[in-house]
Amino acid sequence: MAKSNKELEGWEIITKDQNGNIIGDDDTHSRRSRRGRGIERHYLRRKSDAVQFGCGDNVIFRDASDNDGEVTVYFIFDIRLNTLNNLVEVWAFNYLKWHELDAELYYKQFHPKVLESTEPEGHFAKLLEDELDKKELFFALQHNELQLTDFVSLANIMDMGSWIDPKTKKNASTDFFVRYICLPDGSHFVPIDMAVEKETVQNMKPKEAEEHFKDILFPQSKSSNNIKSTGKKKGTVSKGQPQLKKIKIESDSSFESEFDSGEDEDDNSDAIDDSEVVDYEDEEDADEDLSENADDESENQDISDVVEEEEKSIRKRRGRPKKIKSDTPTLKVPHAPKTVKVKAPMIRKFTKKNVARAKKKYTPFSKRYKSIKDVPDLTKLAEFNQKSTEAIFHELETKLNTTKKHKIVETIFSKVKKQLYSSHGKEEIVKAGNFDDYLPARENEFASIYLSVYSAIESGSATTVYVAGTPGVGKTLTVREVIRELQYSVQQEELPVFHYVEINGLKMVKPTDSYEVLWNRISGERLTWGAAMESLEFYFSKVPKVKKRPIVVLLDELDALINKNQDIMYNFFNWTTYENANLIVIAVANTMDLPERQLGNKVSSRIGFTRIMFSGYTHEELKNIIDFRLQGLNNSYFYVDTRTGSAHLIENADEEQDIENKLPPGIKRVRLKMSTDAIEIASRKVASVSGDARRALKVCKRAVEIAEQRYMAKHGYAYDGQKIVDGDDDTPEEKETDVDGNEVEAQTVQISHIMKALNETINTNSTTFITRLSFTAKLFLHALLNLAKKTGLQEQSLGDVVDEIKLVLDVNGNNKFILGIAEALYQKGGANVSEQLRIISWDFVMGQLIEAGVLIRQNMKNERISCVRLNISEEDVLRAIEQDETLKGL
Amino acid sequence: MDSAAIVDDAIVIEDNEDFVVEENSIKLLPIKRSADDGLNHAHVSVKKSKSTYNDVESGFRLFRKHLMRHLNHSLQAEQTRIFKYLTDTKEEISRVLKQSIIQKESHSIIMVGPRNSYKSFLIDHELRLLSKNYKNQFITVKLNGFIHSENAAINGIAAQLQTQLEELQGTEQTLAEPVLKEQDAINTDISSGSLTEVFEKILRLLDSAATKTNNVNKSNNDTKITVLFVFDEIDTFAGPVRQTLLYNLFDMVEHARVPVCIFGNTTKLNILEYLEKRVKSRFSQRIVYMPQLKDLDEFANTVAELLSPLPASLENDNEQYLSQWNNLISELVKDEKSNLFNQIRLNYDTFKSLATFKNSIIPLIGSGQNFEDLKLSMLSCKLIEGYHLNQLQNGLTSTIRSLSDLELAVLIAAARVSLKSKDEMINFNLTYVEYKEMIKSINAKVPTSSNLTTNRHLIKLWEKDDVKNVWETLQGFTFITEKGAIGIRESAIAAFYASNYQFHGSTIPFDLRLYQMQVTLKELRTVVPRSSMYYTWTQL
Repeated sequence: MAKSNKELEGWEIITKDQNGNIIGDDDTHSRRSRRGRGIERHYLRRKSDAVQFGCGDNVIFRDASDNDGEVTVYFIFDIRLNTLNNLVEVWAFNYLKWHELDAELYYKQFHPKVLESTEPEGHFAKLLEDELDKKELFFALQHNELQLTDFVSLANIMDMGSWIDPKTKKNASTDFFVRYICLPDGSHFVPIDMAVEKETVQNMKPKEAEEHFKDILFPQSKSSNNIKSTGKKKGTVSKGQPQLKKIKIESDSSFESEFDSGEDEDDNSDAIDDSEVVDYEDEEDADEDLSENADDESENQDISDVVEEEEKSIRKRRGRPKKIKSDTPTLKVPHAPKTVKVKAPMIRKFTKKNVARAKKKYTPFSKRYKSIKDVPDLTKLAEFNQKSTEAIFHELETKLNTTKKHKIVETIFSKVKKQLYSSHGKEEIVKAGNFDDYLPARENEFASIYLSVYSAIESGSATTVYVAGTPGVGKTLTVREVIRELQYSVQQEELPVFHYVEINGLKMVKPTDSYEVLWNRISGERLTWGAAMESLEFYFSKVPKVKKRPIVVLLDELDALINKNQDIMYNFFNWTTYENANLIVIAVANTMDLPERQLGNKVSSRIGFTRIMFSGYTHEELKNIIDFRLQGLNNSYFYVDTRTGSAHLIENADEEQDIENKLPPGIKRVRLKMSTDAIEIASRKVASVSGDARRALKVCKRAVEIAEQRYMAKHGYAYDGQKIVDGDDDTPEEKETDVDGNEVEAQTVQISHIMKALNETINTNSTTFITRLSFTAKLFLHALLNLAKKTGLQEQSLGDVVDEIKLVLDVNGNNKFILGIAEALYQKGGANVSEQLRIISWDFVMGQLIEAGVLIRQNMKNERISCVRLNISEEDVLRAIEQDETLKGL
Repeated sequence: MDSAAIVDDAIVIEDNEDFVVEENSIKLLPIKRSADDGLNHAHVSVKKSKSTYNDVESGFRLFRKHLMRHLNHSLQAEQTRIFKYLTDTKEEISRVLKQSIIQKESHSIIMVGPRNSYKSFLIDHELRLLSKNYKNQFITVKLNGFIHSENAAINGIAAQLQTQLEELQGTEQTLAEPVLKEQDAINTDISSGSLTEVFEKILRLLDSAATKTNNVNKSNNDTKITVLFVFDEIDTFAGPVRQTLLYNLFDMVEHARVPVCIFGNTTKLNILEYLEKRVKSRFSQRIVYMPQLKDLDEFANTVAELLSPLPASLENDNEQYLSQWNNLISELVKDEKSNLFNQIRLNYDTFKSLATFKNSIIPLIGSGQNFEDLKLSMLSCKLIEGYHLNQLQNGLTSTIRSLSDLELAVLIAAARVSLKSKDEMINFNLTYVEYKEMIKSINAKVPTSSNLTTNRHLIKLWEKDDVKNVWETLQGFTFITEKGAIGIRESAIAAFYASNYQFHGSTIPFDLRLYQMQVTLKELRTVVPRSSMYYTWTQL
């Protein structure tokens, strides 16, 4: 360093170009203009003896601090001219001498075993002194600014080989040798060849030189420019290669992992953990996908595209961290280089384990693509993933299979019962039937849903259909039928292929699962609900229409999808307003005004619903439905094995003709009939209450069951094929004669059966229950009713009831039964027990009444003040009590 | 003093391996009625039982064990006697089970009946019978509303399905390659994953609506295993929130390819009102009300059935005991003057519960040392009476009788204050004043003739601080309760409110906190013995 020309006295500055030609030793002010010529090198030359040095040279300087002749060897890496304060600045890294090293750190790296011995302090230093050559230097990565006045001489640095070589002539004061580069505190030794480095550094800018040495010291960190640094290159390659390879292997089958690692890169600037998690998932997915490997040729094109994209992005990813990691050291290394950097990979591993439990991915689809153009054609993607899950469930299902070894008796009623299940698909109900018959009285609703959905799919627009109606009026059935028709149109290539997704609010644990389900059906991957929601948002709003298929979503039991934020219903409806959405939402709920009630004008103002109200079925419609279900079975003939009751339906007349003539012994013909009156009454009864088709079918089914039960009991048939001889039922057989005059047994489901089935559902049985309770329970209720009559209040405190019971018993003391029972209840007159305050079985009776739902009790600690009241109608209780002969008279 | 503790303190009759007491532990009362032979006899028999195990003849021991198992319905399915009045219900359950297990139909049915009305018993019995021949045809999933919340139930279903499926197919799987099996486990583990996933898996496993049938054409020999759900306390699943589980299960009954049969047990008569309208629409509306006994005759006959095991259910050696015993029982039950019949009538009028009767007769049978002994105690029925008396130990009367003089005095004072005050509220201050007054006026009546010995006859008037202790004891017996204190905490919310209240109440100073009485002064008058010096104070 020289502040002024005076200090520079005795020195001159020489600038050379790359080839070593002197450009002009005194023209220091016009550097800028000459920049174009290439790298300039500055040298300082002592005029007296023409000793000169420049970048890459080793020099010996006196230590400025103490004057006892200590000298230090420096490696010059920068000579700056005309800086702010000085004319010339000389910057150098210093070399450490042996005594400047920390012995322990030294041994830690080279001979860890030495440290294991427990020697007194100073021992290691001594050991070091013995071991090391006094002329060995250690290149320390520490900046030093040098004073020209302290200059002693040039130094000659050799490598180990030439130093040991006895032929080399050595100058004791200026010759040294260097084997290692290390940190300024004398730790972390890395081998270095100074002769090579000298050449390298000479051609570098000072900053680059410093980076370069750092790279040597820490080979894993990469500098932003990758010229000539072999160590660094090795690092990058060794790290990048295997991963690339791995992904290439997987990519044959794994779509998801590609997308994921693709999105890694973009996210990498986030917290480290974040990328860890996704990394982990990569692996998991890869495994999954390998196992699910379904090699679909048609997909290959797509895949390879994605792979390329993937590789690119991986390269990008390698680039990014480089910057991050090499920036930090620049700031800190000169002072105290930390070891954190080295540990980084270990942390990664650790966090990987930590998130091993994470099941679902949570990076939304939207974050994986930089621009919408990157989004691949999703129409091909979607089906791909559906197969694997289906396979799993198929496997599960087969577990439930069992072989049918035992004998099954199919009675004449079995087929009828099967038909009366309320939700059988069309195929199961009719083989070849007219469509109008299948959905009786739902033609209009069907048409309007069909039309709006059809036109929406056709035009690629979005729409909402809102369907409301009480349970059991065929809402879901109609929608499903619409979809089936539409899918038929797709097969005919009238319509583009669309996705159909069914989401039932009550078939998920929590409402937010609906996002997961929908996204899973669209893309086949499992995301957390938050990510799924974002993905859907992105998918519907941003992804262009050409790249996706129309989606028809059936939101069944919409009210169950309402959560606190009400965001689910809002979102589903809101998506349909997007231009790109291509989404058709068919919402099904019980009430017409559900969206308004829950969301107010937020939704209804902007969405033009197609609203369809399903009203309850009328009795005629119900009758049609039942008739339709029984088509081909009502009034049909069966061959019945008289021994077991096993029945065979006579399906066509030809067969009938054939067998009729020679009926084998033990086989008889039975005619099964459900009387029209019975169907009529069932449909009328149900229509008057709710118009619920499910209910109507169930009543009929139950009636059939009752009829079957009687039939089987009469003939002594059992379900397992064993005949029970039990002929106590002597009702005469219904006989009738068919056309040919043959006797045929007939089984009819009659009004009485239907009525019995209906009564089962209506009768609450509470009166019977109370009638058959114990006397004490009835006494309790009697007292409660008495009190209610006296006070006119429904609620009574238990203390009052206790008193009332006692009063009732006391007042009726002349009744013989009461007298006897009162003694027993209070244990009056018992020689060894005193009178009780509550009647016996008090707690039992109260518990029984409360549990049966007859009584409601306030839950107070103090029994006397707890209030009770009846939970069923007073009349029922009164009627029951009046049936008790004793209490009737009180 | 602590009557509850006394009752809990059961004595164990040593030699009975089959002495099973179901609900209540028994302590025989030291009843002093020397004239009564039967009672002494009972005492003797207990004493005798403390002799050695081998004293009891082995044949009789077998018989007694058999009888005891019969009482507890723990015999094998064939030997179990189903009460006559249950026959119809049993047939109905059997029919439904056979239809779903053998014929692979789907059913849903709810059984309503009070506690101990043999709901689960009948189902289990029929299942035991069916499992003999159709073991591989069904899986039973049992859930209890008191144990499972809706979420726990989902996991419970998954776990039970999985273990039972593994059991059914276990033999084949262990033979398969271990590698394959591992993969299987990953893919087909029903009970792994988050709740949402588990639920989805269950639904997809059982519900055909979720999956499309790809290959309908299966060979006829393949059928599905029936999945049988038995819900206890089904009303707890029909809570006020979303009845997700019931909705899905009932829905399955209609949709599923896998035959599903759902049994729900509940005590609630109005169970249908609990079901949400959509759930109700899917439920088959089939409710079986458990039969109740109609009249005394039927009750007596059923008790006879309860007491007499099926003939020929025991080996030949002990046949004699069995037939003798059955004859004895049928005679006793017919004889309206017999002690046993009296006990039956008493039970009929009060509890009308076979379970209660069973509990009361268990000590009698368990303590019989030989057949004659058992016969005698059956004739006298003293042990049954003893059992009933013992039950009374937990009543209010016994607790009041067990109080010390000071406690009784404070209780009476409190009852007096309660009666005097308008709203029947009392606090410690008022009660102590009343107590002081009582003691003072009692002491005033003591003649103070001699100057030296007065103190001996006087009743000590305790300091207020000392009485506080007594006050808290009374609180412990719930003779007095803090105003508005809530009883057993049925739910988390109830507990929360209760704790909030306590916080509020405890800000009032102890002396002034309001309390309410559990017994009235009038009631105390009937309980406090006339000999007590406080008897006169039991009226105002």
